[in-house]
Amino acid sequence: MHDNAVSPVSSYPDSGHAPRGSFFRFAALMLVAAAFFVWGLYASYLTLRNGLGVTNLDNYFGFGLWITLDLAVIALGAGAFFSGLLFYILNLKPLRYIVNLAVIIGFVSYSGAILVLMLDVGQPIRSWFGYWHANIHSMLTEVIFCITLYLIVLSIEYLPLILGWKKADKVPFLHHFGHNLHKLMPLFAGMGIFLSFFHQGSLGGMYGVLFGRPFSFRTGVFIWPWTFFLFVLSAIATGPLFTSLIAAIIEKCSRRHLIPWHVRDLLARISGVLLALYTLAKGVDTLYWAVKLLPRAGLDFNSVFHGWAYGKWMLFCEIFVCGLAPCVLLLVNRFRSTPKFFYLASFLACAGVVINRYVQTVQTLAVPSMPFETWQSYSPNWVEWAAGIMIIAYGVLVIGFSFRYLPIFPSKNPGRAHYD
Amino acid sequence: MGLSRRGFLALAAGAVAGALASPIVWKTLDDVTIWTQNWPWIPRLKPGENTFLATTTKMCPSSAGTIVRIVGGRPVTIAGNPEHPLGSNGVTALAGAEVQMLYSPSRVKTPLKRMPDGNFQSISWDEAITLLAGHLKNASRTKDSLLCISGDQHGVTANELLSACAGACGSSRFFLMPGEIQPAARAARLMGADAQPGYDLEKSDYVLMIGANALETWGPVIRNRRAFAEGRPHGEPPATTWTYCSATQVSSAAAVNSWVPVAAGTEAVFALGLAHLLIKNGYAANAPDIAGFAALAAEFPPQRVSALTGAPEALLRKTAVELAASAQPIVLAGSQNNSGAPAATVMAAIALNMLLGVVNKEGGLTFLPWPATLLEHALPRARQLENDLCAELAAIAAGKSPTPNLALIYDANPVYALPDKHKLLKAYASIPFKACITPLMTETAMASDLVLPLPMGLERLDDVCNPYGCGKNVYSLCVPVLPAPLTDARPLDAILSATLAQAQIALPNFADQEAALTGTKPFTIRSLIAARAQKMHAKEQELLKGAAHTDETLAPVSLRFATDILQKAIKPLIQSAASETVRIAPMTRMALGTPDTAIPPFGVKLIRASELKGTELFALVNSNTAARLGLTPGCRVRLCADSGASLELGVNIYDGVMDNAIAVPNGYGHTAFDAFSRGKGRNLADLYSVAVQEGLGSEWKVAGLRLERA
Amino acid sequence: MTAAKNFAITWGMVIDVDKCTGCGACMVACQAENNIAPATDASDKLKALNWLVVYELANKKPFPEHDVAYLPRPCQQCGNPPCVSVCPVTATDKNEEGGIVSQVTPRCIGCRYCMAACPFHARYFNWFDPVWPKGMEKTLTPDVSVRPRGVVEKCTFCHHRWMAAKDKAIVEGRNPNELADGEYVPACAQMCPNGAIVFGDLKNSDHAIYQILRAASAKGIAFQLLSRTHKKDRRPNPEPQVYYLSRRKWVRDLASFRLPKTRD
Repeated sequence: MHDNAVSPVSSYPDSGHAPRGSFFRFAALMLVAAAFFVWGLYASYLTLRNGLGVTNLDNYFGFGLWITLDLAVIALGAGAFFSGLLFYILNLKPLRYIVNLAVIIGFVSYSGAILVLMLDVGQPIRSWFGYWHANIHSMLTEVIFCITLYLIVLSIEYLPLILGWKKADKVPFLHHFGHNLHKLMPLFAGMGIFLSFFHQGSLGGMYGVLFGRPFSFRTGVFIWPWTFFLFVLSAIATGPLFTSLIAAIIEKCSRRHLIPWHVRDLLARISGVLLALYTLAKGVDTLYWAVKLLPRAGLDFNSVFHGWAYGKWMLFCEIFVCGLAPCVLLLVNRFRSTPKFFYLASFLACAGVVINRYVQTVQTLAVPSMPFETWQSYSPNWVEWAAGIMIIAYGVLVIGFSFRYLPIFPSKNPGRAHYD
Repeated sequence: MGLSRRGFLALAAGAVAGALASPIVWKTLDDVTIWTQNWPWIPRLKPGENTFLATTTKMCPSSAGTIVRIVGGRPVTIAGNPEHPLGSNGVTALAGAEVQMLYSPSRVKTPLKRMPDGNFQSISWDEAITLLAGHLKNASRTKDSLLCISGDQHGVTANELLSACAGACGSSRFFLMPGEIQPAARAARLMGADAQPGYDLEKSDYVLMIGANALETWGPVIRNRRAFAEGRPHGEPPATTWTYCSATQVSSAAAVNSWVPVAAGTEAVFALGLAHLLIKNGYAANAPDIAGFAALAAEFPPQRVSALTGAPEALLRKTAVELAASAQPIVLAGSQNNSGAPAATVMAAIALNMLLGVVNKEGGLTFLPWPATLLEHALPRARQLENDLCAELAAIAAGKSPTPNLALIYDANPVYALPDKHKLLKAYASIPFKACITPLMTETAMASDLVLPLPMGLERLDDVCNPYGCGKNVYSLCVPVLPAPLTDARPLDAILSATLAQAQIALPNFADQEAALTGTKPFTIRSLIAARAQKMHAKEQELLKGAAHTDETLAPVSLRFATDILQKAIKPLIQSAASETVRIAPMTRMALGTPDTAIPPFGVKLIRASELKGTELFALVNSNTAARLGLTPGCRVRLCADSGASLELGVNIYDGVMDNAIAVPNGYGHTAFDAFSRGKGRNLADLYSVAVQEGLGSEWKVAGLRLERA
Repeated sequence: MTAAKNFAITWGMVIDVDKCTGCGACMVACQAENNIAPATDASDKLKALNWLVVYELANKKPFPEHDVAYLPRPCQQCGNPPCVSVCPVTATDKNEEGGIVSQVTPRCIGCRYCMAACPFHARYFNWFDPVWPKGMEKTLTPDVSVRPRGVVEKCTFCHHRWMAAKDKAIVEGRNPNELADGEYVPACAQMCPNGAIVFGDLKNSDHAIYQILRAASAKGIAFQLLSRTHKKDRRPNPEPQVYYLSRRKWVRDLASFRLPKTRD
């Protein structure tokens, strides 16, 4: 199997790097990102120094912006495992253009998520208790296992790219080390697919099992509530679109053309089908929830929505504007081949996932859980925003430097054919 | 250098296995587990031997018997003493926080002297005593130039010491802080009883609380609540009926059989309305002036009562029917303020009890003999209660009474608690030298020239004697639970005797030499307690162990209705009830402490979201009133009184407030004390002024209340 | 999915809502007993840490039909706790005779998933380190460790009092599993001046709570919070070990969600 493995972009022996664009623009962008990153570091310091009381989280909203961000980046980072699946396992060769970027986005998402989780858990130096005192009944245990193991896998997947850095490549040991790692990539990709699949799913399961919270509780199959599958499906539908959006942003910033349109088109078709499946499933799930589950819990559809922040408009947006609409745009040839619509569709699909994760996280907690309680609202304060933005800035920095110094994209002038 | 795939895997596996085999990882993990639990700034627990000491709460107006748990010499928690006649298994939210109050950040640690720059300076006790003695000696040269204010509502000994000291200095100006007991004692006296009204509600089957929040603040609340609890077996229909008449449906109202909305300040009218219905039903009393009273009551037919008090006619009639139907009814009157109900209200309630025939009967209105006066120069209890602090300060303000040279304030906080900041407190402020004996840095201490630290209730020997509301005679002691006070505090007897000695004023002796114990100094708390115990035939040693002495002796009384006085007293009530379109409804909760304690640290979490947000205090109005006055939730209003006083508050809607009532929580707006209470909300007392009616004493009121949008 | 766990001893509470006047003595007793630090400002009710909270219930009618009730809410010690299964580090469990849901704060990583799971809002997070005014830490009881910031905590029915009662029984040569009524009572139940909280073994007919609950259930005035109201509700039922009594129907109606058409 290893002999048949094809490395997507090789750092050896003589693959070139894609053109890198203006250094000045690069430096300016990185400085801006670094400034935000430092701001977030300060917020993180405050949080770790004084306790989580410096945030706007409270006993009703134990989960807030950070968990929303966490779930969102992990869903959007799913491009890594899904393009891995398509490229390494299903052998969809054109994805070589995107698979390295997907790995980096995945790495950024997972490491960023862990960074913000280290702030979000009250006792970060105890987080390894997840292994030590694991409660196998908890979806969160599965999450902890998957997120840490998959981050290790992603790091291993990322390592050969780092070793592809010109200067590192000149060191014979690192060169050979990278080479050996490359050959193992399909194995790691396979592990990653397994871990990430369960990670996405158990994140959804986390909410679905909350039987005290009728807003998010779902029935399901065996131990998995329907949200398990909805999360997986929404992640694999939008992950690749997010990867291609990031690629487009890189292209825009570097003013270089990096990915052939036919690759995007392929991704769009796959995502379109998956998104259609997801939207259908989400629709059926919502219907069943509204008509059966909620009334059985003594509630009705109207009673679980409130005001603007927790309004029905978000559900409408999620299913129609960010579900159905992008499906149409991605599945109809005429729209898909128009970049404007293509990017709009990608953006909407990603926004839909973010809305979904926000609603699942925050609205679940905002709905009064006892009849004599009232709706409560939550809005993040600057500390949470700063730390959240820090993760995004961190992503910009990692992707920026990786793009500039590592061989992510296939060279315009490939040497020996490593790609086809 | 080449590295084969096999070699690479072997290297990786070896590295991992090697690390895991070494103790480094495991030891580190183990250490981390410990580090995360033992942060040096997190207090560690200290084990110790458990002991339990029974005492009586002095800090909490419930005067309940309590049991303090002491671990290794440190008092840690407090519980109720069910053996105590005023106690039960439980205590109030205030008494429950008494142990922690020992360590209140507001404690006065040493004597403090105000310097010319206005700041306090810590001084020695010798300096403090010398300073106070100088002023005392000066004051003793002119009659009545010492004004003494005591905050001890429920004890006798401290008040005896203080008033005897004042008397020794030639002053009879000894005052207790205003409370429920003064107007009650006044009402009883006006109606022919030289005794303290008591309420034997343990044995009543119908308790009508007119304005008296008897399950939260009024009287010995723990005793009240035990009686209430005993009359309600779980899940069964209540064996006793409790009816609560007040402007707000809070605390007591949640659990009583019925709540009757009655506007604050109109309780007397409501009581007379009930009297009218009872008399119509054939109720009478064996009193000489029953005819006159019946005529007065007849002026209050249900319709008029309803119009004046806001109480629905049907509820008034229902209450009268219930009173008539019960075997052992009792009527209590009180206020939601710290001020006490007007004497007229208590008179009307006593009249109802007379009509119901429950005077000096089991389960009824009892009259308790006044406690003996042991020290020479001391004012008897009855005289102490006749002295009306608000009336006196009003007289000083009006120039009708000379301004004293020296004020001696004992465990009281008049600067916070008294109304009429423009008049009364100006008069108070004009006193040239003010010495404050207090455990905590109150507003009054902040406004004093000399502050002397007093031990807290749990650190000193003190007593409780017939706290107002109890139905039989109760005497019990507050015994120190610590070997010495936590601060450089001295008990009252030590302070006073040292000061008198320094001022070369003879220490007051026992008034009754028979009562004197041989060989003891009379002017000490301990010997006064011993003498009193002997007089009562109580066992001193038992008292010191926290046991209460009870005595069922009642004072024989022959009551009259005093219709003429009641008629005169009720006139202004009717006038204001008829003219005011909105009225203040104060709400008082024990959890927020007293003026002397402010909000205890453990009370802060009991503040309701509807009453305080950050530092903004909210008034509560019902939706009808809000609609009529154009108020919306969260809007701000300014409450203005004719006296010129005003208060700015937020508004919240709460339908458990009667129409046209503006419910304002008491206990906020402290400017002294600590972060647990300072700067939170506004002080409701600021809005009140005082009206003094000849013979009836002072009455708190908000005249001409207006609302402005702020 | 799961049935409530069964224990031979089942410590429970019956809270008589009709006797509660909302004074808060239980909350004060709880703070003192369990070494909960005071706060200088607790007006942000969602951030304040209290194991026991007294809720104010209203019948939502305008004056004069308005009625009010107070409902103290300790941890419900659910038979089928929503919080236990979700904890990733087994820091909370329902595995001990007595049926008290434990909370191992030294193991808690502070993820707050249990708080999201608990519909009773009985779980509280230490947003900051606990701080006592200088010297007040001397009033800490030796029974309940002080929790640092970053962990979740909750009411334990004053579990340490049970341990003490069992120890006492053992010393006196009695069976620690057959405590008499009243030998073990949490601080809140003890300190309620209205006697509104009855505590005991729900399965021991010698305990007052057993008879009280039976009689009240027979009359239909006992209720649990969030008990199942629809027979097809497929969610596991939390089945709290805390029961409430009220003779007022509107109070009982507020215990569980009900759609208008299922109300009578």
